Amino acid sequence: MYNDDRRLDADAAPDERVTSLLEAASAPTEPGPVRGELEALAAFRASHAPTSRKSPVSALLTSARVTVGAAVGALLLTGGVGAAAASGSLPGAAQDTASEWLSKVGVSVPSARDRSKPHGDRRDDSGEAEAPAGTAPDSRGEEISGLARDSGASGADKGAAISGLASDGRSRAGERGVSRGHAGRAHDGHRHKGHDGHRHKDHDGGHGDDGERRIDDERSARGGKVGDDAWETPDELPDGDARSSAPSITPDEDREAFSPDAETTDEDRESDGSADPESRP
Amino acid sequence: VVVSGFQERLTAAKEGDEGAFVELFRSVQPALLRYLSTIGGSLAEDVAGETWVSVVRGLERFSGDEAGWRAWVFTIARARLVDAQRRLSRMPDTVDAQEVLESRPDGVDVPAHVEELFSTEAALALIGRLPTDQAEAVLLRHVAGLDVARTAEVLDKRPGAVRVAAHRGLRRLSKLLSPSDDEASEQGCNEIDATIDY
Repeated sequence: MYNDDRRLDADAAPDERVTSLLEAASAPTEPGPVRGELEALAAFRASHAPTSRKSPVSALLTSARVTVGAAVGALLLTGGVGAAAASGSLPGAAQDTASEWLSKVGVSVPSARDRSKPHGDRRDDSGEAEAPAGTAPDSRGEEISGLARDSGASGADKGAAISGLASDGRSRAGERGVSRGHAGRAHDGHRHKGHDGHRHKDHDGGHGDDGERRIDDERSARGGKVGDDAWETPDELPDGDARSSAPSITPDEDREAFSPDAETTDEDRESDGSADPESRP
Repeated sequence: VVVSGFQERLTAAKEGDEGAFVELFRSVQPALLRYLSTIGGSLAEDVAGETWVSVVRGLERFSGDEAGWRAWVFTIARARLVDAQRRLSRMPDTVDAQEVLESRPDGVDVPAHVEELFSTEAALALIGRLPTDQAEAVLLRHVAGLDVARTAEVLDKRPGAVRVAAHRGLRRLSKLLSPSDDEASEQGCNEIDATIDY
């Protein structure tokens, strides 16, 4: 290996003996394997083992799993938020945002304002605006309301007629004439009849079926306590009871008289809540 | 040993071609073992094995020509040798050339004529009698075939220091081989030692 052109950097070239020595020290080896070759080759094979070459594939699979997992997670999250938005269960601002965004793609979900609107307001809106989706308007409400305003009838008969009409004949009001002794107290004719009339006017004018259910629900809510007497002792009501003047109540008076702040009792509120059309199946 | 188509072999070895790797290995391993056995003694083969493990691990990152390849392998080997020596708390037995000359009978183990051939082992044994820095410089320059710059890289020294160490080693070898004028040779070596700034 030693060559003369690889001269030493000193002032004198090595003598012949040194040159011979260096040639011997750098003599080429015999062709073929050299010591340590198997060990080095084993290390080389280990570093290029199939497992290490599969690592890119493994990394790719891992990446794909992560991507699929993220996509599924995003779908679940989006679906959950969408479902919550559709049911109006999101917090106020989020519900408003979801309603706004979804409305752009043609999906209608309630906004937070719609969800949080008081029942009374909604009731008023429903009376003045179009009927909610799924509620077919018919003339029953108007019919009941007209009957309530009709001055040709009065007393328990009128109440029974209204109840019968509203309940589609299922009401038993007026069928029994047995007083239970509390008619005077419980049978607040004005309140009873007028209340119904009020509901007929405000509710049933918009959706009659709803008005019918409201009356039934109200009866079940109130009658369980004092309503039995109120509905079942019409004959003992005194003439000239406030019920007879119910039809003469103007809509404004009616609204004022039966505003939640005025006379609506806790039972009424419970009844209203149970009769909420949006809470019904 | 010059590898034909070194870059092609290197690229193939990086891609897992065992034949290419073996060719690269054989181009370095004989000189590497001679260097390690001369400097590290019995540690040579273990250190060589560790060296090639490191080379294989770092092969993907290496780039350069054949001289750079050889220098890279020797740099790793020297580092592993130093680690092994520290780990075993055992330094190689460096024999002072002067002591050898004084204890050795004249003419023994030295070819009487230029035509006589040294065996490789005998030549390495004589080089091993040099001080370590001189022996390393001589081995890397004249056995491994590295130029001064590459040798300086491996030894982490300045090129000037490599030149001086190599010169002093050759002068000592010459004296070993010429015991008749050992007085003059020794005088020359001492003069060089006194004037050279390492």
